[in-house]
Amino acid sequence: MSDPVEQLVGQAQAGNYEAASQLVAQFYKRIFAYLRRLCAHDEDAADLTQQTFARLWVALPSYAGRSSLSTWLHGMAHHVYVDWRRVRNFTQPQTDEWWATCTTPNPSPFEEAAERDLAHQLYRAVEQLPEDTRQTVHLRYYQGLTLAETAEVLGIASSTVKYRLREALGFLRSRMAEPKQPIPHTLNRAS
Amino acid sequence: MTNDPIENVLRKAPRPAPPAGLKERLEAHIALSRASEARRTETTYLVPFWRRWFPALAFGMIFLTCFVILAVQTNQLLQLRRENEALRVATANLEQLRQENQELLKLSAQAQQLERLRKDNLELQQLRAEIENVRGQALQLAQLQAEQQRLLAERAAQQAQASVPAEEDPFAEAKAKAMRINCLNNLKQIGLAARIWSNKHQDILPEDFLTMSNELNTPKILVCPADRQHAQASNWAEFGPANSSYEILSPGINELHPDVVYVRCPIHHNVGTVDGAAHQLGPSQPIIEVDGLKKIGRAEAAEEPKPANQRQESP
Repeated sequence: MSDPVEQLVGQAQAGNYEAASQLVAQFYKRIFAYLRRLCAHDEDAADLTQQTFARLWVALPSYAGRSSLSTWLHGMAHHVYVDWRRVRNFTQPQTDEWWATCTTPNPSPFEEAAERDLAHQLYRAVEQLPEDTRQTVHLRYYQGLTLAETAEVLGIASSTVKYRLREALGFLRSRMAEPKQPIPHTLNRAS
Repeated sequence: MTNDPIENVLRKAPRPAPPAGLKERLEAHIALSRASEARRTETTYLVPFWRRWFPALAFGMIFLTCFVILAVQTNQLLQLRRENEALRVATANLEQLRQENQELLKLSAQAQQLERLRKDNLELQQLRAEIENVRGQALQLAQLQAEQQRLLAERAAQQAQASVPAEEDPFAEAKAKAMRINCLNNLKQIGLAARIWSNKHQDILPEDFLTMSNELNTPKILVCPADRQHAQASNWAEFGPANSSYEILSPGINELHPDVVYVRCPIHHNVGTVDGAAHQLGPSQPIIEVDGLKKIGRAEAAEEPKPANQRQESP
């Protein structure tokens, strides 16, 4: 347990509250951002984040370190989101306005207006992807997970992750070339 | 547009800021539990080994059963094929065997016919030999007939010369002698039967022949062979006075008088005495009565006594 995160996990497994607080402080922003992008509501994202950490405390004693805590936690968040989505039958993607409000108050990496428009167009196109492809893009690019970690979180093979990303990039490319092109039939799959 | 700028833009996606107070809420809901408790909980839910491996074991059993059934059926199929092949070969040989059997039957019939012909030939040869024999006998018969004719002629000539009657039987004397000896034998058996009867009846000889019928073998011996007037009785039920040639001269005599004549043949003058002996009396030898007892008298002087060997003694 040379990794500091794993040391914290070990201490939390031993019942150390401070270590658990440090784990919360280290991961709650990423988990909230991931869930917020998926479910499109702050309150829902906050509830789902709380549920995710509640599951973490229940399952923490059985954590054996076969994968990183970040991956493990993303997997829990993914399952929490899927359960929540199944109950709510939620199909509404993020809107352009949200992306605009989300990016406007903070210092934006896109200094130029053209780049900002391109980014908004891409984010909007990502939300039009099928659900499984959309979640793959969120985990791989938005959350910055590796291919193996993304595959482990989704419970699929790495080759499937690659296939989905290739399909997503192809779709986004086509959307960038023709902004009003409809979603191709091959990608119009039920999530 | 290539993938790289798109990926760069996606990686630079803005991160939504968490609402205020979320961290405090999360820290307030930290509920840690000991790893040992979790392990205990895990072990509580551990299923038995056989239940965990039951699907695999069931599938394995089903697969093994199917494999065994398949193997058995394949074996039976192969066996049936082999039997089928064997039957086909046997059927192919069957036609050949039928032909051989028919040929064998023909040969057997021919052999039987040949054997019958041989027997017929042998019988024919025997008949031919018999015919030859009969022919030879016929030739001998003709010769014998001629010889008989010749002898008859010679005899007739001799009779004519000796004026002897031609009807006299040359064997009459021998026959008479034989009948006399036979009569003597009958008397001997009667005497023995009477003595056997007397041993059981205070040494008294029986009154008549019917009394000692148990001691006599047959009533036929009670008729003299030279007697033509009395018929022989086949059994004692038919026996009567007319079936006896002999007469009892001393009925009920005691054995104390062995020389007394007990029975007599009136034809041959043969007598049987009380001691069981049979005697052939000559024509001049009478039966005399001494003190009321009938005995054999002395012969006349001119009469020669019979030789001793003609007197049959009792055993």
